[in-house]
Amino acid sequence: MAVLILTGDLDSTADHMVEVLGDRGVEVHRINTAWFPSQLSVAAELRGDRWVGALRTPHRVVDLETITSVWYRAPEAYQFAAELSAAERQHANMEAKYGLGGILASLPALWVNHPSRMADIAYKPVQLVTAARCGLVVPGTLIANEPAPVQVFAREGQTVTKMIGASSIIEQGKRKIGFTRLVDPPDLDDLRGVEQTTHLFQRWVPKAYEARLIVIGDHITSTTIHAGSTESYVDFRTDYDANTYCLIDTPGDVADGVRRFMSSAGLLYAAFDFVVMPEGQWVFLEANAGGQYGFVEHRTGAPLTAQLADLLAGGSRS
Amino acid sequence: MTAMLDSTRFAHDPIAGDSAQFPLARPAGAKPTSSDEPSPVGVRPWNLCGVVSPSAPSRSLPAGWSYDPIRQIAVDHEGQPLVMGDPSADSISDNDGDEGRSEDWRYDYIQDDPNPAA
Repeated sequence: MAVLILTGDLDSTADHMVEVLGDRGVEVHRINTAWFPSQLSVAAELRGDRWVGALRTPHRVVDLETITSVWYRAPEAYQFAAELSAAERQHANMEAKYGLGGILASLPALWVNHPSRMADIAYKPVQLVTAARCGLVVPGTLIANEPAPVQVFAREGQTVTKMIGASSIIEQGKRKIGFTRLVDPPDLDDLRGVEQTTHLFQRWVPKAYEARLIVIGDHITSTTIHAGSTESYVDFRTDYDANTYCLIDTPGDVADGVRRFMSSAGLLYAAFDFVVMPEGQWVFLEANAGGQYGFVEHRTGAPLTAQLADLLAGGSRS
Repeated sequence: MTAMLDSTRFAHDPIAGDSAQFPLARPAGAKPTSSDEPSPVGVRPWNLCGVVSPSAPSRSLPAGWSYDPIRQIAVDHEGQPLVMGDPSADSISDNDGDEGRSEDWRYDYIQDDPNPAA
């Protein structure tokens, strides 16, 4: 029995998990796919319905048959030799993706989470319909690249806009972030550029506070996020110092809906963001299957690392 | 007849499921760079009018850190477990949480373009 952690070399959350699992006597193998092919190799043979073989680094041999759980956190892109041409690197990358990536993706282990399930649910439009089907309350939402429907939607009620897929852009030599922001009347006077790509507009949900809900296996942990500044009231990510956190009970109907969501999406871990309205209703904003949990644990003392360690240590081969 | 594999089919397929890929994150230290200037209003996607540069710099890494392949953790130049600083520290350049680099968790960092040569 062994836990395979797939992540980068610099990951303090994974460092902590390695130590916790080690203290429990669990065999742990931490692998970064960026080591492939110079510091990581693979040889596996198809026997029956599974791949038998090993991953090798200069320091360890990972027998694929011993892996009972995989924590797919943030493994990094393969690194190929500089001697290869661009076309050859393209070829090598695709072969590695389907070769090594395919072998790992086929491991009959407990996945937290399987990368394909994470990728499926990365699409916000998919998340919203999944949440609605699972009984969660979702905000009115418009996705369009036509200005006229945007005008109509935004004039029917207070509206925010947020990025759908990539919340940052690199230009002028620096990184810029697109936080959720309110759409003001002057914004609607000039919608030039909307037609260039899809844009997401969502009804502003009056909020008493936000809630971050962490699901780890059967455990659901919710914490309030009270904004302490005007900016973080709209998007709590804009001003972490101004936020305060407090553990809160998860309403039964929300927990039921979240469990249905997790089952539908095939996930064992996810971080959900909700708005809690003044009258107490929880409104789903989004789910992040790779969302961070360390800051919630640090601020609230919730035993999230222990819960995840329990989950990983309890995996078995299917 | 053997079908030819189009090696760029996902990069150019507008609706391909991300799950067709094995998504990998940007390598540590491989900072994205672009000196592109914003396009004029009307050309630039509308939602980019609201992007802002982080008001605080990203958390800097301790000099001399390395990965200890035996202990399987990051360590400082003295071999001690790397302390990333106060996990509650500002790092608003991250998209999710404030415990360190969470990467633009877009699931498809490299699309199907190869990583730059090592």
